[in-house]
Amino acid sequence: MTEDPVPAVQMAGITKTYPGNVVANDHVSLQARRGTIHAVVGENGAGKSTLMGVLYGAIRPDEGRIRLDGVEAHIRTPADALRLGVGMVPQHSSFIPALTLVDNAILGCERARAGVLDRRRAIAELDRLAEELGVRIPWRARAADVSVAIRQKAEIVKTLYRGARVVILDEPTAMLAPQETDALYAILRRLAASDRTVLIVTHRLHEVMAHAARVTVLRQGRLVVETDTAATSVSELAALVVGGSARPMSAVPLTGGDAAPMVGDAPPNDADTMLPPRDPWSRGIEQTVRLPVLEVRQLELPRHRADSVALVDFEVLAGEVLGVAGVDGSGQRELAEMILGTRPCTVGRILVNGRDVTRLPVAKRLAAGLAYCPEDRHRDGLIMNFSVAENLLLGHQWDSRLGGGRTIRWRRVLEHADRLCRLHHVRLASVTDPVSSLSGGNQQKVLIARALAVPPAILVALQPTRGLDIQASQDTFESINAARAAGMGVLLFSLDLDEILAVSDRIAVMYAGRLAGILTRAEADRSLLGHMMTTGSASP
Amino acid sequence: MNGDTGFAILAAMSVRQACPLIIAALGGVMSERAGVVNIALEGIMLSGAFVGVWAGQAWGPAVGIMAALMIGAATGGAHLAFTQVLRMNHVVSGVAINLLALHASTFLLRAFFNQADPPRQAKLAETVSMGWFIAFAFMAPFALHLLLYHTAFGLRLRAVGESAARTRLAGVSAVGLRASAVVVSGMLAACAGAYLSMALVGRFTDDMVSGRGFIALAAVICGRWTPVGAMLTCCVFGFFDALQLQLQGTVAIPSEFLRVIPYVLTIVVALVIRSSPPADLGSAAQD
Repeated sequence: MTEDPVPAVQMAGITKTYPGNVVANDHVSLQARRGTIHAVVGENGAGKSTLMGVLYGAIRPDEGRIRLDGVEAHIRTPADALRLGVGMVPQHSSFIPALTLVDNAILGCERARAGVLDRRRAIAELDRLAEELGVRIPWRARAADVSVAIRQKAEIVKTLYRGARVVILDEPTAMLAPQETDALYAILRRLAASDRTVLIVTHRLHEVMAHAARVTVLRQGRLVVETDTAATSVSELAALVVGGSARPMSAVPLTGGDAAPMVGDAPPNDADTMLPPRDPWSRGIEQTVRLPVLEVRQLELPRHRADSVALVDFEVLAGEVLGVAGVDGSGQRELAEMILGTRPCTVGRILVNGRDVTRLPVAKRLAAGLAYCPEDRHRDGLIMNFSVAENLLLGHQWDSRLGGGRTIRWRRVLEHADRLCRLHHVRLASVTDPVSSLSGGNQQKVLIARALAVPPAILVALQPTRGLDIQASQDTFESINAARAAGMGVLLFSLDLDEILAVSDRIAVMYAGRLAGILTRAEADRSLLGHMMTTGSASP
Repeated sequence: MNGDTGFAILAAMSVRQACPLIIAALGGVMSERAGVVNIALEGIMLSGAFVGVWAGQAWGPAVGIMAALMIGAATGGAHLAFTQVLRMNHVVSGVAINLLALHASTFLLRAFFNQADPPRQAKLAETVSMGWFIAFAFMAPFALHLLLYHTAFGLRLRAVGESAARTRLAGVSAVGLRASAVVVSGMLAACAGAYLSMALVGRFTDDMVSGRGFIALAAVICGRWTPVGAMLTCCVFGFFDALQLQLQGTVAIPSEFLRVIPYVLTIVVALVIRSSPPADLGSAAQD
C-alpha cells in the first residue's frame, strides 16, 4: 500500500476529434480524488463537456484510457458507465419532460414485482436517498411541471439510485438563483462527505474557489493545469481560462457612431425623445429630461396564490438599465411575455414610447420601438437550420431595402448581415452558414445584432448571457451598452445577481409573481436583494 | 326486419368492422409510442391478408396465420431498417412499403391464382372463426395499457418515443427498443390483415384493406396514442362503417357518399381532439 491513495477517477490521453477536424480534446488527462469536489473549468468550446461525456460513455473518444479506483475501465456507452458507478447530470437535463420524476429516476434500472413496476417501493428508496442529501422531491409530478432546481435535485438522487460512486454535473448552476446555488453545493458537499467523487463543469470561478478541492483548467481542447484550489486564486484561474485573449472591458471602443442602422428609414421613436449619445461610464450624472420608453401600469400578472393580487407598476427611462432580479419562476417570464405580447394581459396597460400597445399584436409592438431578446435562444430566438443572414433578416423582411415584402434582395441581405456581424463581433466563416454551426456565444450575438438592427426604444432581454463564457458575455453587454448610450432603455431579466449589480441603474426585485420593490443601484447590495428575493419584503 | 334485430345486426357488424381497426391501431400505438411513425400499417395489413390466404390455402389456416405474422414481422423489420439504420424519413419509408405491398399483392394474386392452370381462386375452403380475433381485439388494448404504463419494458418504450437520446443516457438501448416495438407492430397489423381476408370474407381480393390501415392510424392519433383510447375510436369508426354497409341499397344516398363517412369523421375527430404526439416521433435512434 502506498501513502498516496489511488485516485477515484483517472483519465489519460483522452483525444476526441469531431468531423471537420475540430479537436475537442487533445490528449487531456484528469485525476480526481475520492470524497472531493473536483471542478473542470474553461471557456465555451474548451472541451469540458466532451471530457465529461467521454467519462460517462456518451461520447466515444478516439484514444485515451480511463481508470476507476485504479482499475482499467472500458466505458463505451452510458450503460457501461452506470454499471461501473459513474452517473451524470447533463447540462440540458437527462429527464424526459412528459414522464413523472419517479419514472425518469427508475428508467433503465426498474424494479418490478411479478412483472409490474413497483413505483411505491422505488419512491421509498428514492426518498431515503433524497433525505440523505437533505432534499424533498415530489416524485409523482411530471418533470415538465417542476422547477429546474427540483428536477436537478431529482437527477442527482437518480444517480445515487443507480449506485453512482462518481457523480458528474455539467454546468449545474447555470440556471439557478443564488440561494438555489448554495443549496446545490450543500448537496454536493454531502455527496463528497459520503465518500463519493463529484466532478463539476462550470464557468463560475468563484464557485470553484468556494466549493471545489481541486480544479482542472482546459483551454481549446488542451489541459492547461490541474491544481488544488488552495494553491490558486480567482484571478489566476481567470487568466488561465482565457489565456490572454481577453480584452479588458473598459478598453473596448464604443461603436455608437457607426451603429447607424441599415434597415429602417427612421428610428422608430420620435426624434424628440431621443437623447444624444452619452458616455456610458458616467451614468447617473445627467438627470435632465429623461422620458420613459417603457411604462407598465397596474399590470396584473398570473397569480401565484389565489389570494395574492399582483399589480405591477414601473417604467424604464431612456438610456436606463432596469435590472429585474428574482428567483427563477417568480413571474419574470410572464411579465416579459406580456410586454412582448405573446401572453394576453387583462388588467393594466403597457406603453412603449408613450404609445399604448396593450392591445396590439407583437409585430406592431416591435414597430413601436420594442426589441426582445428571448431566454431560450434555440426555441424562441433563432431558426437553427436557417443561415445567419436569414436569421438576421427575420423580423426585418418588410424593410424596403431588403426586398420589402416583394422578392428578397439577397445581395442586400448578405451585406446587411455582414455589416451586423462585424459590428457585433460575431465570429463566423460566412453569413450563409447555418446559425447552428456557430458557438452559443456567437448565436447570442446574432440575436442581439438582430434586435438592435433598427435602434429600438426599449430592449427587453431575458438572461442574455446565459451559458455564455466571459468573452461572449462582455461582447454582448458591449453591444447593449452602445445602444443604451444612444438612448435605448433596457429591461434586463437575469438570475445572475452579479450581472444585475454590474450593469443596472435601478433594480426591481420580483417575488412570487409580484414586484417586491425597486431599488436604486446605490441602495442595492447582495444581502438586501437576496432578502427581497426570498421573502418579498425589504424590511428585515 | 324489426328494430331489435336490425339493431343487433348493426351492433354485430360494428364489432366485426372495428376488430381489424383495433388490432392494427394497437400496432400503431406500439410503433409510434416508440417514436417510429407507422403509416406502413396499410401495406403491412395488405401483405398479411395476402400471405395468410396464400399459405392458408396450401397448408391450412394455422400455417396461414403464422405466415401472415411472419410477413408482418419482416415488413415491420424493413420499415425499422429503413428508418433507424438507413435513417430514411419515416413517411417516405411507409409510403414505399404501402406501394410495394399494394402492387406486389396485386401481381402475385395474378401469378399464383387467376392465371394458374387450371385457374384457381384466392379463396379459403372455409373461413377462420372470427371469435378469437374479436376476443383478442377487445382484450389486448387493456393488456397493452398494462404493458405501457406498469412494466419496465413499457416505461422504456414510452421513454424512447419521447427522447431516444435521453433514453440512451439512462443506459438503455434505444435501437433495441424500437426494433422490438416496430416488429411487434408489424405482426399486429398483419394479424389485422389476416382477419380481413381469412376470417371476415375468406378470400383475397385486390386492395382489400382499402384504407383501413390509415383509419387505424387516425384512431391512434384520435385516441391520443393510448391503447384504450385507440380502441374506443376504432369502435366509433367501426360503427359508422357498419352503418354505411347497412344503409347501402336501402336509402337513396349514393354508396360512395356513405363510404366516405368514416374518413370525414376522422377529420372531424382529429380537429376536435388535440393532443401532442410523442416528442421524438419520426427520429432515428442511435446506440
